[in-house]
Amino acid sequence: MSKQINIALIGNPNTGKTSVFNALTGLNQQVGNYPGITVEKKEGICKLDRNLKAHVIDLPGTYSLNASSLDENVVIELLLNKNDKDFPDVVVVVSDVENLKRNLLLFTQIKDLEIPTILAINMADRMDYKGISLDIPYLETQLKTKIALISTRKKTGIDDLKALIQNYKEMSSEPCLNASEIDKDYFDRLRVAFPNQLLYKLWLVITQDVNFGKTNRKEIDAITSFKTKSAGDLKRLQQKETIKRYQFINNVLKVGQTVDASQAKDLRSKLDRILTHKIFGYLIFFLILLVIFQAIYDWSSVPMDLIDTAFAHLSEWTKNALPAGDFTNLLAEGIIPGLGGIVIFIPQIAFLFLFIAILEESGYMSRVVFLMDKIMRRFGLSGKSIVPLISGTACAIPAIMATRNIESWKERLITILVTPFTTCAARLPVYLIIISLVIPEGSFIGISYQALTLMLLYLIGFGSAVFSAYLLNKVLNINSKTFFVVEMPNYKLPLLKNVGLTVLEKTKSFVVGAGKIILAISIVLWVLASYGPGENFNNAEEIVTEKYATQNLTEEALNKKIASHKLEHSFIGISGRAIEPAIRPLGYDWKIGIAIVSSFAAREVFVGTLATIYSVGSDDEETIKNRMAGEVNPILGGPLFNFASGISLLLFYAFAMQCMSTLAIVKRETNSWKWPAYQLVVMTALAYIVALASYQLLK
Amino acid sequence: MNPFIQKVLVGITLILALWFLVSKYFLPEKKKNNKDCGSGSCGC
Amino acid sequence: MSTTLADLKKGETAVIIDVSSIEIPLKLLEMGCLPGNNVQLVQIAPFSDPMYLNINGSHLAIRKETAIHVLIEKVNE
Repeated sequence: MSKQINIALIGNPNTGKTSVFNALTGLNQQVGNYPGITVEKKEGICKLDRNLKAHVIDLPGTYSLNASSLDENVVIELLLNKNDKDFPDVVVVVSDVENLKRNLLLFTQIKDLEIPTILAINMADRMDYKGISLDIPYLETQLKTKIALISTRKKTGIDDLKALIQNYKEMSSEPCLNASEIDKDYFDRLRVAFPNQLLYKLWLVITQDVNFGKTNRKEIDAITSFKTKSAGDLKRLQQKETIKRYQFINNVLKVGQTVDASQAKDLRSKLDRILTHKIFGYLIFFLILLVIFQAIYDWSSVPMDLIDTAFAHLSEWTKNALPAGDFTNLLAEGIIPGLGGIVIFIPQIAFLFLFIAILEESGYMSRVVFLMDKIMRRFGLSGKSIVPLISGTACAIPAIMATRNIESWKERLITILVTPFTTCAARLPVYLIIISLVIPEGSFIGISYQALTLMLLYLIGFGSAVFSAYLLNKVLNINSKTFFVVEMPNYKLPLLKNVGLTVLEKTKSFVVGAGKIILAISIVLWVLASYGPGENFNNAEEIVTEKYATQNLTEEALNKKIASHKLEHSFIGISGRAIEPAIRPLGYDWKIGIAIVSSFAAREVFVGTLATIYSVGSDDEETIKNRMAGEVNPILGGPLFNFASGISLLLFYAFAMQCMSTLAIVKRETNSWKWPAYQLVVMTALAYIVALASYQLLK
Repeated sequence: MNPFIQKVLVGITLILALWFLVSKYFLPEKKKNNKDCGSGSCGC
Repeated sequence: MSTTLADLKKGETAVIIDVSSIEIPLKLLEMGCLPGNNVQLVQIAPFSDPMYLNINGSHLAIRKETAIHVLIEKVNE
């Protein structure tokens, strides 16, 4: 029977803590959520030896126990709550050898909570490079801990770390700093009032206003009622504490660490000079963006075709292999295409996240944030909004989740609200088919009109995101302190393992998050499209056969006509007809109306629905196009899909908020119904007006 | 397979799908930790 | 006339004299922005915002509106 202990991995961001986590847990890891809040919980299992397993939690990176954001809060709440099932038996503080001084601040704070703490110094492979040498035994004595020198890059030191963890019971839990040095009087009084508690722990509870949940409520209330100092005083004392800690750290490092500056090579400065340059910095960034988008476009077309074919075959096979009937049809026409609609976007999304992960791991992304911050602020956004905005071109869902590192609530909210304007991958099938229908052949300086239109649509997406951010910034009356800090880490070659695991995680969030909803809605839509009230629907076969009796159609053609008639009189067909008066001024008819309604599930459903409407059995693009080209406008007589209605449809899709999954995520991340409701109303109204105007002007 | 059974299966799937959608969108919000509202890092 | 961090020019080094505990969040102090520590301007973005600084060995970027609350004294080479 193996015993299990709890380990918490804590440390500054950019110390390679995640790499240590990955090295310890391998693929035995999972990402979830802390109950009630939108912070990711990363945990895994590490086998230490035959009889000992470790449950490892990778806590959010933080610079100190004094939390300034929701995720930093998670760290302190865990460490102050002995009754939490994840309370660590031993803490591993991961630090980076080049920023040891700053990393040790957090270390000394945790030590003062008298929890056994191991110091893991990562990136040991860079010591020679930077001329750093450490007196480990001295440091171990002074800091009252055990040290493991690791290099996750060279894969050294992990076994030493595991050995230290196994011997955690022998570790000293003496504090580093005497908390009462902060303010002797105050702490003496605290000690008298609460003789059984750690002084430092009391201090943290007083200054942090921590929420413990159900346990210890009475105890905490007693402590917080001891708040005899004003907020300003407390802050000054915290500053004093920080100074004292650094004094201690400086003294220890003066002897324990030697830096030979003459040996140090400085790649960071050299790269920074170019990459953050006033002119070249931006040029290089835009070039990188272009390369990324081109690559994603090129690389994903092959897998997408494969997936498309595979699902089409699966659908057919299902229809033939299973006994004929309603449920088989649901599987073949509703569920399988629904799943296919999700899977087909995986290549594009995975590639985009691959590039973003590489940019982040290498350290370059911080420089982008630095370059873009001022410009972004003009529109009420933060430099940190750039990653969500770029991610939004794949899928808005993980993009919105990526806004969690934006410190200012107003900037974060605006980013969340405008990200859906960016052209996500799901809009592409709609754009492509309409463009090929209505945009004429020919080119302008070597680029086809069709390609130009596509580029224009992307620009409109991005432009409307930025413009609405500008408006929101003026209109929203939210006071939030903006405190912006971005660390500029060393440049490093991204570790394949980390990048791979990140891509896996983010793609999973899209598939699971959007996937479930799209699948459920596909089922509902199929039912609505396959059943209808009244005689017209139930007697479809007779009605249609009679209607075309004189025309001598083939059985296949007749079946298609029947299918089309059925659709027209199904529940969804009725709703399409019902909204027809509203959309006729936009140049659409009820058939397009059906497609728009059903694409509320997921935009990509539009093309599939059109296929059914125009009584094409498969999703053969050419056939759909020909069909659509042949459609006649019931009022004007000319082709239904002409330039005017095509543009109108394109613009409608550019602005409409049609993805239920995105709405669900916005609700979760903003913790209210208000914001997704506004998005839905405003964006739909905007889409309607723009589409209306463009059709009326162009027709 | 009996067409009636098929219809029933469709009905069950539909109910499951609807139940899922309703629970996703209309589940009462979980209680939030009420910390750090001043710094604006939560949704209030 | 007191010099603030916002007045630092590219490549210049200075010593931090005082950090307003009201205006400056604790986090920045904990990252090394404390009286007595050195600070150097590594790079500045167009429109002089944000500022890429080397504070006591920590490389980070902050906005100008934060930098004006840090009093410094320039060190002449």
